[in-house]
Amino acid sequence: MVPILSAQNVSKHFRGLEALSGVDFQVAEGSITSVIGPNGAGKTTLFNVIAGNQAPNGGQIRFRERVISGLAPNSICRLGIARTYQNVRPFLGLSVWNNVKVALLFGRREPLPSAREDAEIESVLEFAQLTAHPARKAETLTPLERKRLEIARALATDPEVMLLDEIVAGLSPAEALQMMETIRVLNGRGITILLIEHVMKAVMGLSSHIIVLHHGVKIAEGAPKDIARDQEVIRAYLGDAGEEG
Amino acid sequence: MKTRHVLLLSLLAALLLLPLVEAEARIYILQIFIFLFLNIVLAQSYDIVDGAMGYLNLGHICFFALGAYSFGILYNAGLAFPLALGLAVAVVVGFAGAISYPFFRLRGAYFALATFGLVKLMEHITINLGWLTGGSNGLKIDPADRSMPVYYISLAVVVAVILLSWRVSRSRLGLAMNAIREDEEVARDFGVPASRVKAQALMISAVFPGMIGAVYTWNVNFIDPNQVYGLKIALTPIAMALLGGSGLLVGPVIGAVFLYLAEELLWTHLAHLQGAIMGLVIVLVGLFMPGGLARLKGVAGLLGWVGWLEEER
Repeated sequence: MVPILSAQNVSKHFRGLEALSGVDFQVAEGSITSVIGPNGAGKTTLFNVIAGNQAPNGGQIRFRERVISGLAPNSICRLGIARTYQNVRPFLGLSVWNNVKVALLFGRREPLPSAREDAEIESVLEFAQLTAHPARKAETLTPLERKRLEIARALATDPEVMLLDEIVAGLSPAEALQMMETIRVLNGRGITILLIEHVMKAVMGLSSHIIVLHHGVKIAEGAPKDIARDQEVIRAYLGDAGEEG
Repeated sequence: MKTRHVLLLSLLAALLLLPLVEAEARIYILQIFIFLFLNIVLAQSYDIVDGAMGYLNLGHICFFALGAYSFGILYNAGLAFPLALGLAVAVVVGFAGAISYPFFRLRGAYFALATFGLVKLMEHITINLGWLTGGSNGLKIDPADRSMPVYYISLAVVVAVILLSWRVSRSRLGLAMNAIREDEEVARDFGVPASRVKAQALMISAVFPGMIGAVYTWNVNFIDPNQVYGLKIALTPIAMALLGGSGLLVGPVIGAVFLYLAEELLWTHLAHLQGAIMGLVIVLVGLFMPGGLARLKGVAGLLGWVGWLEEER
């Protein structure tokens, strides 16, 4: 089967810094795949390249068979790839309702008939538990609510793939469990999830496949239990016992 | 009928009847209103790009000046008033579309500075195309007192620009513009075709200054580069929009009325300082009253009571 999202030999450098070099991976349709790696490994750069915020210097990103690297972010979103941000970025001055409405009106492959817009926004807000005050400006939301708004906005584009950038990080343990459940439900709806995450419990609990980046290079990939035992991954995270000595 | 509709319609009726009142200084009074209308149109149309989309277009006056000159040239070439007016507007909108690509690659202060530079550039081009524009000697059309038709046309343009701003603010395009104001990158990430939206917004904001520029030439019979590209006329609408309350439908109108009256009543003797004063107003509003008059508690309460304060989104 053709993977829903794949990268062939993707490189991205900023001046001298190699943020990504020759990265290959495949994301199976319907999976929850995680990208992990120490700080500065190139995870967010990878998301930016997939979402079209940064053009890769080499290689290709494909959405199914179609090459999407080089397309503008708005086109990529309309193809069915929606993202959230590591540092949440709601439209602060817009109401919660309109935050979602922007995504709903502009981010979908096929526009919704206008008679169904309001009902769809409501159902998205309900899913994200944000129905209480749709007219509130996003700047009044708590950090947890802002994370939920990120999910709501991405969901409103009716995506096939969601790129979730550290959506669990920074939440309390109870909130984190709730967010993991949300991700599972999204996945259950048929949305393929690509996850960047530091919280290992979330990564191990959710993912069917893990990709490990280190200094912009893919050093390992596989099922969670194999990754947990992979010597190179352990070295990347903890350093060499010898070096530490 | 709601209070706001009653108020609006009585105001409109009063303005429609005003020229019919016999008075000694009738033409003078009409001219005062014509220039007030001019200011409202410029301030309101300016705010389509600033208030709704967050781009400070300091070169907004170029649309007015280009409308004024295009009309004058076409009218002198023998075209009838409506045709010359229509073509002048087409020229201005085309110009807005053409500059939108290079200028909207810039953001924030860079955009503001570049558009401000555009005013000077256009002024110099106008001066140097003497064969077409009359250069620094200015451009004359056959002189006549057209106060009456100019008054009514200007009033119609005021109504049109307010209605259009209102329509845009509630439209899909308006929401895209708001998203761009909040965070252009995120807007793009969620499907907003930002370049196209920005070009559309700029072209919409150019229609009415182009139109009122044409009417201006028709009214005053003579224009020169210093008059239509001057610092004062360039900054005044911006000062008005910011002072009144940028981003609110009534804001630019309130600012225009307030500043225009203040100018007429107090500053007649400070002609040379007016450019500086407008600059000062912009700075002071930014520092001490960023929401503008319309968002002050008392004013907002009053506006809300009569129903003229729309919900912000």
